[in-house]
Amino acid sequence: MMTRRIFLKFFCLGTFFSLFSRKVKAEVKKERKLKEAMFWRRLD
Amino acid sequence: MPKTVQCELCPNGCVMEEGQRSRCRARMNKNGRLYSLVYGKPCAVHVDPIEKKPFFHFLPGTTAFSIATAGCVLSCKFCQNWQISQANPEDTDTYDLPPEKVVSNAIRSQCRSVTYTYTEPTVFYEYMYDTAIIAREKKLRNTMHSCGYIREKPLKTLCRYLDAADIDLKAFSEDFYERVCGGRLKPVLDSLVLLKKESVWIEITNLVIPTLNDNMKMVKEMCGWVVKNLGPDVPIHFSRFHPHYKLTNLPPTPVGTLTAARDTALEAGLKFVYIGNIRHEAESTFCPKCRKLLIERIGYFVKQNLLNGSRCTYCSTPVPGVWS
Repeated sequence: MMTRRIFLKFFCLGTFFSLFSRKVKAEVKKERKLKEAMFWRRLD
Repeated sequence: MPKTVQCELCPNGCVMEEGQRSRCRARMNKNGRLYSLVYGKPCAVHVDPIEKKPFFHFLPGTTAFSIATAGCVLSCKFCQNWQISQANPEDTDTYDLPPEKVVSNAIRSQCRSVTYTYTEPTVFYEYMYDTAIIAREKKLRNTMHSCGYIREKPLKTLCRYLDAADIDLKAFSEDFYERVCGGRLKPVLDSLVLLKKESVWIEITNLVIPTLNDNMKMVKEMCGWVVKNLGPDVPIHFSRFHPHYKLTNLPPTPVGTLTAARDTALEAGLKFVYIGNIRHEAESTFCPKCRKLLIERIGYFVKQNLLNGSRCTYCSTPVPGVWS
């Protein structure tokens, strides 16, 4: 059963880890230039 | 000023106005030029046994670095990979994997080959082609599992770097291709003949679907065509259907239907006929002359390989394939 004591324990632990853990930056994907297709033709 | 383009890669020949996409979803007309939207962006990357493709006469027991991007030139109602084959490239999670990285990862994973598979490799043709060139330089083999729905010129260009192709021959009926796959049979047959002419190792897969293509008259006709046009040495895999995508109303293929298809193919003159997607002794390779067991398989795994080079250990009959 979730008592107030257990709740506070997890709340404090969560706060501690979120505040003091190392921040990881989200990877920013490089936008690659589109590759031109090999087999096509212009119609007009 | 209109800037209309036509894709000349597959028989669909999509005509696109500015900003429009091809039917395969992987190509787009931007400012009057056609671009691939999936180059270097695979949505599936795995190291698989080569037997999974399935290739049974091509480097047995080795692994293949396998890649696919989103999109397909057909829209088969029974597609086993519809979540990615019928998706837009931007709706799939992709890796940033340019051709040189595919090859370096394949080498690091100790793969003997790079396989273009899962969806339809034709839709990522440029990516496959560039990767195949680098792979060949690094002494890796190139294989693809394809529906064979591609025009002559691009296929011929690719054949310079392609070592093996497993082609899905979905049925021997134009009506089936039109109704169930949204395509045509003739271009697939033309591709098979061209691959043979270009000395690419071919294996054929036929998914046997209850009530749709399990007619033994059709199987006989198909196998007769294969023997006549490609020769009796081409391995054929009759694969078991499982209810999927838009055909969940159909039952899995009965084992009896698969064995009947196998018997029909053997009667038609094919020497290497396999049954797939089910555990069966017809997963193994037997000598066409003395009928002794040569390669024993359990699922995708080779339990024992008793070939002596490329010959039968017992009677020295040559067994066609790429064995080393």
